[in-house]
Amino acid sequence: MTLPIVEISCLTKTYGKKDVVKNVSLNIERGEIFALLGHNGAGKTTLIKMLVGLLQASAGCMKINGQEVAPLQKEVKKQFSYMPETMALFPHLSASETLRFFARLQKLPDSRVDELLKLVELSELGKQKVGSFSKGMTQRLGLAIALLPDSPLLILDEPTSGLDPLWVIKSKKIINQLNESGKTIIFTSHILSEVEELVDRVGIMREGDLIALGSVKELKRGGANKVRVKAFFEPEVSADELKARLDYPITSEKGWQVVSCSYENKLEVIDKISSFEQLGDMEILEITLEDIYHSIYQQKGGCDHEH
Amino acid sequence: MNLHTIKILIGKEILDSLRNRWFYAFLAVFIALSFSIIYLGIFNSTTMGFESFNKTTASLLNLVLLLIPMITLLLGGTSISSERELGTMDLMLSKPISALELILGKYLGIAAALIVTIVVGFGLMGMVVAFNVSAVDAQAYLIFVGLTILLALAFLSISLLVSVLVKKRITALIVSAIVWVFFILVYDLLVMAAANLFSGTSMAVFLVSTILLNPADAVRILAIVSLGGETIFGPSLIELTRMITNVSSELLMLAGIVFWIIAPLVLSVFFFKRSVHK
Repeated sequence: MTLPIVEISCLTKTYGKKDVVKNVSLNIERGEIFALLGHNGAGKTTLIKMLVGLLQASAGCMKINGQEVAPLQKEVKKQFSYMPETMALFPHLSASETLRFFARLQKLPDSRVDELLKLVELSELGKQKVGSFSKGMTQRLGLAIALLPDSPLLILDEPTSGLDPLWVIKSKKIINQLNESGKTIIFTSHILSEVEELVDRVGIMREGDLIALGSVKELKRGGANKVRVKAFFEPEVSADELKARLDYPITSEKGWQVVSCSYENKLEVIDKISSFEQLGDMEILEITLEDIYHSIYQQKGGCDHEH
Repeated sequence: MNLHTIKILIGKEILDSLRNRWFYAFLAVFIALSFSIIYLGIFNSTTMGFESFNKTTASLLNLVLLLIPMITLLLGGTSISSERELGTMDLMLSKPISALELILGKYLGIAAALIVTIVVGFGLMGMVVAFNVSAVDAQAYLIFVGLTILLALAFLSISLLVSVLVKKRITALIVSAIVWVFFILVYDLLVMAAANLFSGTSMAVFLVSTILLNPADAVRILAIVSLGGETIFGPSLIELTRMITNVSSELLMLAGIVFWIIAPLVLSVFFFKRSVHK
């Protein structure tokens, strides 16, 4: 049996009296795509920063490829490549000089520079100074820096932040291709729809706790409601009348009334909704990662207004 | 310690400096100073010759003693703090680099850029003219350039320590300014005030100790001794320096400056490690 590529055990980070990461234990298997989710301030970036050796843990330990992680440990840093949440680069260097610097620092051939500039479609801007780059271009160059070494593990903190929609799709494709070539990928994201398409497993963090862990399927299975029935009424039906006749909690989304229910109750809900003469349209949807995320956050006492 | 990593870091710092406006601004200042030495010291001294050249060099050394610490403190003081603030430090520290390699790479890179500005600004033009005048003038000029470099190296080391100890660029600039005011303006006044408490040999020991505790003073005394100080400052100051120590005063001052280059660097590595481990 192969060892997990990442082993996190009872990891805690404390600032003053506040625990920013609380006793988190987590293993990430080789070849996985793992997403870490959570609101701002949930502790995702702190956990990632400890994992890449940018912060010292207050308690607990972490191993990457069997090697213990600690700040300024050179050997373990050869086992992964990291892309920070805020990609800041040297403004006076050009794109190719920046890549060449990081390539040479890691004793990689200069040929990787052209290869990666091509991959992130910055070949034509290779001589342009990074200081003049847009956020999206800087982010693409950051991705190229992370892809320079042939590391078995890629740790990407909000990799699609600042990218235009086309590049969000392209980077997802790149992440998938890298995963197919055997690399393990850990990333954080706020865009849950993109996470759902990509990941094997997710971890959800709230106020420093890892409150949920598993594959999207497992998390869906764990939730009470798995189906969303959306109904559009014309003319509009009052909320009180709907509640009285359906006997299920109802939410309103852009003029549609939405009922979340289990598979077993799906037909009953559909029947009840169909009995309304004012029914204009009806859609039945499988719940998404976003629904699970909100439901887990609410169950564990999180507050939705942050999101 | 990996020399390859240090070499790459030095290269990056030099490239970064060459792209920066400060490099050319300082170069212009040094060239202007160089011209003043040549004009006032050589071409304008038909009757006094070498002596006048040396006097001018010594006066300009005082100007250098004000300028170089300021320039290096501003440059080095913001080097690490601004990378922390910008966020590039996180990316660097996620790569296989040790604290020693990072600090040494930064120090040597900025030092190389500074030495280039000093040598190009002061050296080349000055040497050409000085060689045309006399070999002794050339030697004095060479010593002058060398002392300027030593001064820059000592204050760069101090500035890097400042940069490691503070988190923000603006704080680094303020602390650097305070350090400059202390070493260049306040220190000598304090020494003069405190000197009243001593007399005889203890006064001499006190004076030499205080000189060694300030790299700018150490460079000033070394300059007085090496640039034929008897003719400019009178023999008493040199005699005082020689009297209180059995070793050559040049060596003592040089050792003091070297200490100021190494000690802050060692402390920078120590505090940098501590800051990352927090």
